[in-house]
Amino acid sequence: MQTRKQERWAAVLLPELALERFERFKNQKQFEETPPANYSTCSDAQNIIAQATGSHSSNSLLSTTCKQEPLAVVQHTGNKRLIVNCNEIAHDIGVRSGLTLNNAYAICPSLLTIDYDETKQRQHIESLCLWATNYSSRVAPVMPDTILIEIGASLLLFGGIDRLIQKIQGDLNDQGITAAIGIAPTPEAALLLSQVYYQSGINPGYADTKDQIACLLSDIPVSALPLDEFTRKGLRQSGIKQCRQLFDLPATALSRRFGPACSELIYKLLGRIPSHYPEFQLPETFCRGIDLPLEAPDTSVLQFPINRLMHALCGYLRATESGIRTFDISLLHDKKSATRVTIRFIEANNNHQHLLRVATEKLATLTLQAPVTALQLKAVEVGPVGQSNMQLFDQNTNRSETVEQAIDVLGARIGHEQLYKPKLAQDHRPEHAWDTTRQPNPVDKTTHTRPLWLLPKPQAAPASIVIKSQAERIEYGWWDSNDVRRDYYIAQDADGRWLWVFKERRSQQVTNNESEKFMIHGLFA
Amino acid sequence: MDPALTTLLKTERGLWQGRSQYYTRKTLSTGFNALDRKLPAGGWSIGTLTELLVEQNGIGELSLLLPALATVTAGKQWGAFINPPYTPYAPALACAGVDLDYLLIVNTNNCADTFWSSEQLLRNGSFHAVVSWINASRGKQYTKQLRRLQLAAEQSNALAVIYQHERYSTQHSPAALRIKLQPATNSKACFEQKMDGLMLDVIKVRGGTETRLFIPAPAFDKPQGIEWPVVR
Repeated sequence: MQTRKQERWAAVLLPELALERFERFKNQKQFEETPPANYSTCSDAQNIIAQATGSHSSNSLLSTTCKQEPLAVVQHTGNKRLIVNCNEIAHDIGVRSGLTLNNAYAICPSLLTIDYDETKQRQHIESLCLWATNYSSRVAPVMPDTILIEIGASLLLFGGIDRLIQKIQGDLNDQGITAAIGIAPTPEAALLLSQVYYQSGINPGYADTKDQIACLLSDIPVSALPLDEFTRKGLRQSGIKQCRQLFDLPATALSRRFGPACSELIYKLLGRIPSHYPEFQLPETFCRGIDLPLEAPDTSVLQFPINRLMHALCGYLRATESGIRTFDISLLHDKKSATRVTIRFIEANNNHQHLLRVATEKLATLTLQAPVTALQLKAVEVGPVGQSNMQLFDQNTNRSETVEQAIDVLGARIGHEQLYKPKLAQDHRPEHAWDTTRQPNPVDKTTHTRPLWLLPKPQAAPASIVIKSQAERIEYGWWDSNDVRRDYYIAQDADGRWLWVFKERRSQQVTNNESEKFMIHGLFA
Repeated sequence: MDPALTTLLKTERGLWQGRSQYYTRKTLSTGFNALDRKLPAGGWSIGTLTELLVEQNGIGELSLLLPALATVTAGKQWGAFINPPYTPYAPALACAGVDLDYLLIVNTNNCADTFWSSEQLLRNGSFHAVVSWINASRGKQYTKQLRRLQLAAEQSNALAVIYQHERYSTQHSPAALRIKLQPATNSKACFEQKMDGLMLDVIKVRGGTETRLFIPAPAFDKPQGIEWPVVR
């Protein structure tokens, strides 16, 4: 019972979700104008793509078309087709939710419409639930457009209610989603407060304790309560307009008149009886997709949808207390097999900024064979989060990035095989005395003078070189096929370059012209 | 200094001594006393771009940086080589005191990637020495990239060095310190005195004047390992 008392529910109402799924290009533009910290990266990648494909304007074209067209979401209910939601431009022209489609067309002939798709909406809500697991282990989707998050247990971690809400709002802004948030100790009250916030545009305030709920809800009109039509009409005819009046009525009288649903709702609102919402269960593996509203001609416009997927991925990773090591991004094309991009990380991590940056760099190196119609992100390898990515204590400090992050970003663009650490190898043959590695080096140094540059293949030296040192004989590897027996010298050529040259020493039988010449093996830089 | 000037400097807010701001920068000793004395900062200055101009590799151009690099890696800080012309030879680096565990080597495919990688590593903050070899043809884009690199270096706390071909020494560069390196044998005086080593021409330095100095080559004629009866 102790924990029950501390429950705080945040109802995140996402009223424009169906519309925003199609308006993400509008936000893409916004995203570019107010870039995050990795500004140089994004713009660089996009510039390069624009140069490569010669389609610099395509991106902005997409965003502007979507932004300026009136757009509405249409729902089929029986024979009727009703407008559920519309964007600002359509609203300015006079389209309102609740209009039939024919009427809307009469007002605005150029109206673009989208059919409301329940499964898509459910998928999007689920993606957002994954994201919301960032903030709490208890998240419940409430169809069609709300997510309930139990934040009471998270307040201490995120540093208080205001900062938590700020963070949630910031994340949603980043994904281009508008939200109204209501907070109360009971889920019903939170849902009601979020509805009131959305409809009136005024934040009704947050309820801290159960006693405050009744006070906070007292001025809310009864019509806002999720009651059936019969009850609403009955209450209206009885002259009950505000919740205050309703709360004052004896519950038995209400039940007798309107059935048990009404008094049950009031009890649930005030937290006298517990309410239950089925909580969101984390899937075993992470695999989520996004359909693009318009075909994407190049990868630069994919950043925004990828960002949404990353938010979901990071939520999933935080909730499972793990980090990602490898994931696949599939770019689906129309009538062509999908392009699959695998992204690897040196250390498992769940840092949203970093994941997004590496994915963006990787995608920027891609040349598309066909326009992209949909995206899919699948976690392949998940592991415990690496030491350098632990974010428990440095959440708000502006610490510099780690070396591993730099290697991830560089590797995404120029290939991981191009990055290495030099390593000493236990071999006296100069060409075998070094190696590439990612592991720590053994501590063992040679005391002889060695050149800083090693040529990939020894080259014949010009005749004009001057030997400046005594010889150092290296004889090694007679047991394998790469037998080496050479005398090494330090020499200087006419240009003043310091060379590391050698002369082959062979047994008398195999003497040939080659072995008499000096060969350059390195440069003293 | 003229006392009138001193009073002016003290009273007028719009007047300051040009050099003073360069002395306050963080520096890293070059490991060569002669060079430290000649540079106004007293060493490689941290947070600016240093440009080393070399006609050809193999004249001791990288040795100039190794003491500083050894200092950086010894402090468990990372260094990076971007687009080195040849394989950096691990035994030689280790011999110079560079901790190979803190040295990242990046081979890039083209010049744009070299610039980009250098900038990324400078902005990363975990790298305290970033050395890049740039082999681009000059152009408008190029100057812009160099400027970007200089800005990235200014915001970082890293030793940022680029190697360039000597033919660019006459052209403008945003780098704060530019040194032309050539073998001492090219200079007549040194040749006559049989002095081997590296001739440094400081052609641009913020807060200082152009200067020239000589760094002798290490003694290569000491016995190399076990002496063998060698026929030359």
